[in-house]
Order: sequence, then structure tokens, then C-alpha cells
Amino acid sequence: MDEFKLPIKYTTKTNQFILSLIFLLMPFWAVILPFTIGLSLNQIFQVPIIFILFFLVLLFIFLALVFEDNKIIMTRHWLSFPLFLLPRLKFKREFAYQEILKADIVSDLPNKEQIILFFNNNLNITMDLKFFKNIQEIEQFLLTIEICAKNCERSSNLIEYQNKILITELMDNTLSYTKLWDEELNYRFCPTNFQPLTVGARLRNDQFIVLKQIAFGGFSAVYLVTNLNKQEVILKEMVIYNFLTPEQIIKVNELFKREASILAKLNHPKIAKILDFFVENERHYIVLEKIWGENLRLKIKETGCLDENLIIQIAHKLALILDYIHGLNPPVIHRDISPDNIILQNNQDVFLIDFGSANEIISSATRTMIGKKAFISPEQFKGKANKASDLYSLGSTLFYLATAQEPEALTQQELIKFKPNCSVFLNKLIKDLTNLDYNKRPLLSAVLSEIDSVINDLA
Amino acid sequence: MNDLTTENNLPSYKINYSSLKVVRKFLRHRFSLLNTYKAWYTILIIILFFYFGGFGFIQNALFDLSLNNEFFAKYSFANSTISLIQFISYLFCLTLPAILLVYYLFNQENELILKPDIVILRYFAGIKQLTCPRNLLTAVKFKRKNNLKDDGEILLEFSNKKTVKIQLQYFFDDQSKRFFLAYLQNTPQLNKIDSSLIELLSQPDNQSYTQLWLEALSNEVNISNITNNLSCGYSLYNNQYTILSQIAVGGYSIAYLAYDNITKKNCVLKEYVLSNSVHLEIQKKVLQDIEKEYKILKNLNNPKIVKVLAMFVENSRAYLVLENITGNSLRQLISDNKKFSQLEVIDLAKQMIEILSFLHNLNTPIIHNDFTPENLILDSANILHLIDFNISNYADTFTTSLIAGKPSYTSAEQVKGYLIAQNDIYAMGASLYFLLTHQDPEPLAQSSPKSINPLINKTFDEVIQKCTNQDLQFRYKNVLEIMDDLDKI
Repeated sequence: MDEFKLPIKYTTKTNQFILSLIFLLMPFWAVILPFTIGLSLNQIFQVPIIFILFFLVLLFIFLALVFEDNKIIMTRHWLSFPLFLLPRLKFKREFAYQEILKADIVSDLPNKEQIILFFNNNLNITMDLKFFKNIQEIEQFLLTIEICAKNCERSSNLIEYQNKILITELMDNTLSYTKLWDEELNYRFCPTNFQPLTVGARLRNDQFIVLKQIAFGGFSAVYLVTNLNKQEVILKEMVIYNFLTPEQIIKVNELFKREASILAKLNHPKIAKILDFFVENERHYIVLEKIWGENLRLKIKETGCLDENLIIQIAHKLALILDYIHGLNPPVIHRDISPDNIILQNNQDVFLIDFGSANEIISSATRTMIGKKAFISPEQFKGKANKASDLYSLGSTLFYLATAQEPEALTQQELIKFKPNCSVFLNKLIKDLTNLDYNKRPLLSAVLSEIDSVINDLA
Repeated sequence: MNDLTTENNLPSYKINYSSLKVVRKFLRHRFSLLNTYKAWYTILIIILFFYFGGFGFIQNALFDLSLNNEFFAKYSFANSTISLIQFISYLFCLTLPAILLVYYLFNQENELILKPDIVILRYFAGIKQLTCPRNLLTAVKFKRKNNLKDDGEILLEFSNKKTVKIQLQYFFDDQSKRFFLAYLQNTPQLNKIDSSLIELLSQPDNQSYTQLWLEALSNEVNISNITNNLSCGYSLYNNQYTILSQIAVGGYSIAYLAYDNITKKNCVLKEYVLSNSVHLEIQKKVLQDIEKEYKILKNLNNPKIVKVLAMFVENSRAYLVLENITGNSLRQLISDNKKFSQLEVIDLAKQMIEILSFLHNLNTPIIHNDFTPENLILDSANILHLIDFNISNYADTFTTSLIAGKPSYTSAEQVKGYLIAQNDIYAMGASLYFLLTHQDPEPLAQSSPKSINPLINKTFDEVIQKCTNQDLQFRYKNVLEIMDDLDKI
């Protein structure tokens, strides 16, 4: 393992100008040099003018070296600044991380942000953000200071700035709050058993290029990718080859192919379409249409629980979608109705993305259960999902929409205990849907007609 | 670099140890990384200047002065001074290259050889050698040079009055430092090692974070790490561990049987993938979880619980080094058709109770949360060992929204996120059912082995039923109650 060394480019316009000047004049001074050496010794130096030129050449070399140095070098124990910054640092070039006392960011004018580092001995240095190469390097610089400089007090402005960079890079939309940021990260990214694809990775002969990692955990990962037509689509990846015996792998491959082809045949305007599915490098991929908009979990985190009318509308639309998939021959059970899999567009259109069938296959193959505990029905937990399981998940989801809290797992939910002024209808609906005994849950058709009549009453 | 050669089956470490490397490092740093060649070029020019031009000029000027200046002509001592200066400058110019050459040559082959029985320091191109037997090493002292940098002189004192001096900065990478420290620590009679030196040479536990982040920052990640499993014979951590085989695959980790080349024993490496994601925050969280497992295990001291030996990070993967327990997991034994008699199962149950009571009665109680047949190993002396503390937690911390576990062994409360001792009791009951019936129990249901096998003792069946009671009120509250009931069988 080599020692850690991170070079970060930092150079001003002046430097670059002087450097280019020197390089332009290079034919001049580069030629004199060998020439003067080649001439015989004592005689040269009796003609002072050549001697002066010689010195001039050395001066140029010196200047070139100084201005060429455009890197801040960070190692595990110290960081060092480029030569041209030395005068400001009283000619101290290297600083151990312990010497950094405070780091701050100021912006006198918009677009003129500066990072200030304070060292002991009253030294400090101000660095303009625009002199860094790009935002990733600024991030690396700040991050290295955060990791290695334990004594450094980072101002809140700096922390906020760092978070801002993180957020804009990872999220689709800019979150206006940063305290939920940690939670969001923890939710979306969990330990995996495999190395997810990195940004820029290419699949299927460059047909897909990974733009962003959206989420990963356990055996699967979700990415935003572009396809050949430069459209953005979602790629779901599942990796289980390293858990199973070769016979099991063949069986699981078959199961995946079957599931994927069943799902690909689904044709509903409100369900994200499966565009393709394939296997590459022993990993299974499903290509899904990208549905724009925020999923309900994120939306509720931002704005709190939804208005009851809206909840009933959403319930209605979801029930219609469920009606479609349950009505197919053979019926398709969604298995993963939860707020993250529901997208609300324009406060009215409801879309379902992502099915839980992959999880099901993985679960049965590895004998572990994977799922969102708050929304999974008891029978699905036991491995015996049926149509009514989707209803349980629907009920739990509605509970979440109404209270902005995840319901307790494997429990029948009574909305009224959390929201005393909710409507009798909604309370009953959720309670019936989340009955632990699947035989006692209402039929989808009954649910649909009930909701229909309530909507008509409201209208 | 470093060699792990074995002579007579004993390892000896050769550490390259050279002051010239320091000079090169210094130069490479003073001028930015890409400029090393330019730096050498410039130095060459400057040397040439002084060699050919500068002194020549000075000499000439002085010569002219001495010739043309009346002042100098008057005083003969001035003349001789000038001649002296001339002489010195000639000497300097001529001998400078010679000096550099000698310096270069004599710094080439410096080596510090650490053999099992002797310490050898070779310098002056191998001509000079300082040899001291290892068993005479009495103390290791450290003199720090500069408060801020990791620099100083290490003194190895031997009882034959010899002292070997080593400059710390000549160990130019962490690998050599670790070898050296391991060598010192494995020297039995040596008990005085300067603690600040140990700190500098070793990689403290909390450095794995830093390491990982720094690795990710410098983008050293290998894209070819897409495919995972380590193959037999692969070496890790600078040849300290050699992979022998893959033993198991779990929810988030893969376990390998490996051979430790330093302690010469088998061990188990639990490998966690640290996804080389866009964001280090994400890796931080995963690493935090692994470090938590490490810390939990490190603080447990019980012969029936697997011991953790070390933790390190390499190539975006975190490894926990665990002791190897020779034996098979209960699940493995059952699938190999081993049949346990009821008495044997009761004995195993008592061992399980012993383990769980140890965990639950610690100052900060630990709930294992994964007390399943896969994680219980029976060794050749029929002692049960518990491994895998991956999802265990200190009691009272609420867990995340995703569940991943074996449904037959997960109580409803555990699914809901509660961390209570009764989670483990439920899992224990389910495991006992598994041992008796060779089947996984029905999830979220009370299990009664007697309904499958009427030969099971009634009291024993009731114990298992009480362990897996879905109602917390009626389930055992702590493991010792179970022990009492088992004694009645």
C-alpha cells in the first residue's frame, strides 16, 4: 500500500500568465543555456553581458519552477502549499494537520468565496474557491482537512457549504433542509455484499452509462443511467451469484427471467415500464422507465403528512392499479407497496415504480428476509405473500401518509390513536386493510367501491 | 521492497532503509510531483553553472583584481588569500562530484534485516554490518526529533552493550513500520518499548476510517474490484494473510479461512465490501457499523465467544480478523445428517444459556439478534461457540427500517425494532426446535417440536414453547429461568 498523497490543483490567473510568458520565451533562454556552457570557460566570463544573460536564464528557470508549482499536496500527516503562496505564509510551506486550528469560508461578494485556514503562530491563508480546478477537488480538499485535522475547528458556514456540495451531487432536487440529510443517506445506502457500479461505468457494450447511484443495500442497487438514445432510465441491479451453488444459480436465473418477463408484459400508464432485462457479469439487471417526480417518502419528509382528501385520492388511484395487476392472469402481486415506490406528480397523478418480486426471489434463495419492516404483512414475512398482502402494505402506506410516521411493524394500525381528528372512514379503512389475518381483510373490489362513494360525496 | 522470505520455515523481514530515499522524497516534495525531472534538470544546470562558470568567474575576477589592483599588489598577504580562495574553489569543484558519488553509492544498499534470532543492520553498500542477537535485546527507546512530524531516532539497546540506531523516517512506508513493530512485539524478553514509538509504528484501530477515506479520496480504488470473491492463495495486508478458502457467505459479508503468516495460525477473515460510492459519507456509515462490531467483540472476553484479533481496510473492503474455531455450525451438522439425542440437545441448550446469560448480564447488555444454528459452532470437544455479531447491538438502540434476517428465528418484536433479551430467547427456542426436528420453525408462531415428534419430553417441549411464545408476557424474561426449567427434566 502506497502512502496517501493527494495533489490538489490551485493556481491563480497571474501565475498562469507568467508561466505562459516564460514558456513563450523558452526558445530564447533554452537556447542560450547549452550555448553558453558549450563555449570555453574563462573567456565567457570576461564578457559580462553573457554572464548577465546566464543569470537571466537561471532567473527564468527559477521563476518557472515557482509558478509551475500549482499543487496543494496533502498527505496523511501534513499538507503543503504551492510555492507562490509562501510569502503569505511567512515562507513556511509544510503544515502538520495539528497546526490547523480553524477553517472557515467567507463570501464577501457573491461568487467570490474564500476558504480561510488559521494555523498556530498566527499564520493564516486565504484561498479563492475559483482558483481550484473544480468542485470535486474543493470537496476533496475540505474532506481531507475534515478527516485528518482533528484539532481544526470547522465553522458552521464551512460545514454547511460542504453539505451543500454533497446534496447537489447526490440528490435529484435540492433539499432545502440539511438536517434530514444524514437520515436520507442512511436510508438509501446500506452495506452491500458486492461492489456497486461506479459513476461512469458502462454496461452492455456501452449501451448504458451510469450517471448516479441512487440507492444500494444488501443484494441490490439502483442507478440512474443513460441509454443509447441519451434518455435517462433507471437500472436495478441484483447480485446473488456468490451465495449459491451452481444448481441454485441456474434455478434463480430462471426465476428472475420469468419474473422479469411477466413484469415486462405489464402495460399500465401508471406503472413504470420495464424496458429491458439482462444478465451481465453474473449480475441481474432490469431497466425501468424513469418517472419524474418525488417519491412520497421524500415528499412527506419535506412537507409533513398529507391532507386527508389527497390521501383518499391517492388510495383510490393505487387501488385501481392494484386492481389491474391482481386482475391479470396469473395475478401479479406487487409485494412492495410503500411510500418510496409511489411517485406523486402535480399533486394528482400517482405512479408505482419498482416491484418487490426480486426481493422475493433473493429472500427465498438465501433464506433471509429482506423488506421494509413497517409495510410488510405477516404472511409475506413468513414467505407466503398473496393478493391481500398488497392490501396490508397499502394500509400501512396510507397510515404513513396520514401521520408522517412509519407504522409499527406487523401490527394492525389505528389511525385515530395518532390523529384524533381523522375521519371515521379513513380510520376504518386503514384498520381493515392492516388486519393481521389476511382472510379478514376486505376485498379490493369492496375497497374500491367504498372509496368511490366517499369521493363522490366529497365532490 | 519488503521480503517475506522464509529460511528454515521461519520468517525474516528485510526492510529497505536508505537515507537517499529521504533526499529524493524531500526533492520530490519541494518541487511539485510532476516536476521531479525538472528539479533534477535544474539542479544539474546549477551545478554545472557553479562548476564551470561561477567559480571560474570568481577566480578570474579575483585574479584580475590581484593583477590590476594596486591595493592588492601592495600587500602580498592579500595575494596569498586570493590564491587560497582559488585553490579552495578548485578543490570544491573537483571534489563535489566525488563526494556526491560516494554518498550515492554508500547509501544504496542499506538494509535492516530482522531474522528470528538476529538483527542485522547493513550499511555502506553492505560492506559494514552490525549484527546483534535478538535474545539480547533489552529495550527500545525513541527520541523524537520534531514535535509535529513523525520523525526521530529509534534506539535498540542490547545487553551486550551494543546499540543499533535507526532513523524512523528511513522506513518510508507503513508496511515496514508494521513489520518492525510486529517483530519487536514478538520478542519475548523485550518488555520496554517506548509507547510513543508503538503509536507511531502501528496503525491504531481508529485509523481504519481515515485510511478508507483517504484511499477513496485519492481514487486508488481498482475498477477491477467489480468481481468479488478472493481466490485461494490471495494475499492481504502486505502478505500477512493468505486466503485458504471461502467458508461462508452472510447478509453483508463473506467469511474466508486464512492463514496468518506472522502468528502462523489459521484465522477467519470476515470481509465487508465498502462500496466505492460517490460519497464518503456513505462509506463512513458502513465502516461505522463494522467498527461497532469490532468494538463489541473486542470487549468480550469469553471462551465461548469468538475473539476478534484485528481489523483492517484494504482495497475498499473492511476485514475483521477472527479466531478460527475448528468445528461445524449446527446447521451444517444437521444437514450432514447428524442426529442429536434429546440429552445432547439439552446439554447444548445449557451451553446456549451460558453464552446468552454472559451477554445479557454485561454492564452494557448486548443483544445478539442472530442467535441461529448458522452462528453456533460445535467444536471437537463438544463446546459451543458463538460467532457473527453483525447485527447485534447494545440494548436500547432502535434499529433501521430495513429488515434482513432469518424469518424463522426473528421474533415479532425484533421486526418491530425492539432490542430486548427476549429476541435472543426466541431465537434460542427456534434453534432448539431446529435441532430436534431438523426443520426451520414456522415464523411468527409458537413452536412445539412435540407436534412433529411425539417422542420429545413433555417438559422440554413446554420450555421450547415458552421460549417461542408470541406474547412477551408469557415468554421467558431471562435465560436463567430457562436453566431452572431445564434442570427439572
